[in-house]
Amino acid sequence: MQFQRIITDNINTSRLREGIYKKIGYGKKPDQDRTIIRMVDEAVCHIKKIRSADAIYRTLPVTGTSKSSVTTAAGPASSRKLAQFTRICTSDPEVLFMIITLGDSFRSIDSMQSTMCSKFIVDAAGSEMIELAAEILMGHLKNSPGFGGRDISRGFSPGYCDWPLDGQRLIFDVLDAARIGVCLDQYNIMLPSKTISAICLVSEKMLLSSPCPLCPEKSCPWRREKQLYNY
Amino acid sequence: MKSGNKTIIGLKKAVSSHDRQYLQFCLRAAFEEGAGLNDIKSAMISGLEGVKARLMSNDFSIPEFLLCVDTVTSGLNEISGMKDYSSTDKGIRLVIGTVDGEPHDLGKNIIAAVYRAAGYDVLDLGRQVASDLFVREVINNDAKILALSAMMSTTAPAIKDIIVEINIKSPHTVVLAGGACLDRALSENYGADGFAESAVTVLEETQKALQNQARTKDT
Repeated sequence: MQFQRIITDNINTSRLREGIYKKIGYGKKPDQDRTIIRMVDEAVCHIKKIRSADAIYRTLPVTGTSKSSVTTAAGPASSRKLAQFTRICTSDPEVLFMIITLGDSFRSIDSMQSTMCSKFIVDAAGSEMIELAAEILMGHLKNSPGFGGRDISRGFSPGYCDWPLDGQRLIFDVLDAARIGVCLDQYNIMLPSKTISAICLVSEKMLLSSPCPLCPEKSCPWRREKQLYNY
Repeated sequence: MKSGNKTIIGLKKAVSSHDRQYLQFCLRAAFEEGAGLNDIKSAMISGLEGVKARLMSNDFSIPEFLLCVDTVTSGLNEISGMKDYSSTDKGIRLVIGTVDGEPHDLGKNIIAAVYRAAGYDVLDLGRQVASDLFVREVINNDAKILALSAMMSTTAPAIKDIIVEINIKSPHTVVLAGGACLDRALSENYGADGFAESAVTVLEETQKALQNQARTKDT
């Protein structure tokens, strides 16, 4: 199991800001109210004070696939879509288990917000920050010697698509999440908030980076449009 | 004593332009004129009504709407400490919370703030509320509305169980369901009287559900 500290200092502020605007309901070039612009800028300042995100990860070889699950030594991940996805891997795939978190720092920023609007914007800022940190982690892994230039799919998280939320237990069995201060509650919710858990497939070559293009549900809100492998 | 028309317009304008400083100024003016707290409260609430219309026609964004909600909230907080406040119209009693197992409460908190700012008498039970507590509080407070929030498909089925109990123990209570994993069809399938898709539509939907209930009673 590997530990990685992602330094978030270098995250592009414009990209962070753009992501926040998108999350709070504005397009790429929003025509916002001046107060909203100020509040988003304040949220960016607050969230950038979180200097790092902590991640742990581990890979395990796939030991079997059925129509509805992908199995490793840790047990099965029950997802038909993921099982279908293994079929486009050009070599025997491995499963990368990962958890990444902003830690407790976000909670203190959130608790400082006294209005609904600022809470709404800061929440979006936290979500955007952890997503960007996860993207940095994936880029780092892709280029690290341990992965030998293999392709890594996009993350597949419990509770999304057809993988039930209790899939969290599988990830938490594989990884010592306490090492980065993350735990699961009785309902399989991760604490603290602004934590992402996921598994990815790792293979020599992948034509797609997610199973979405193979899925007929075109109106799914989580659908990833890009069809080709694009990390 | 009735407050001046100018002050009432000022209060409405302060809300629709989410200008908290101007709201403070108008509140002071209203107090000096001896305006009744009910008039002040209604002026702020009706300011939000205008904003709601602009929001529905996409002239306003959700963050801007929330700024207006925050403005009304600050005004209500200001007057709620005054000694005559207890004699003002309380509004319709409403119980709200996220269902058992549901920790995500940002959406619920926003909806509760919108309801408060629109003049409802909100009892917020918080998050991960046990089903029997919802039923108990609805009965104890004779709530006219119960608003249930669930963000995950794993927690949403609790809504159905709560509605079954409410229909037996407090049939006059209107139940609204909302949350990311729900849509209108699923909400209706659970037996909800209305589906609160977002902060944009929740007030309209609540009005509709209340009217439907009144109509059902009439017939």
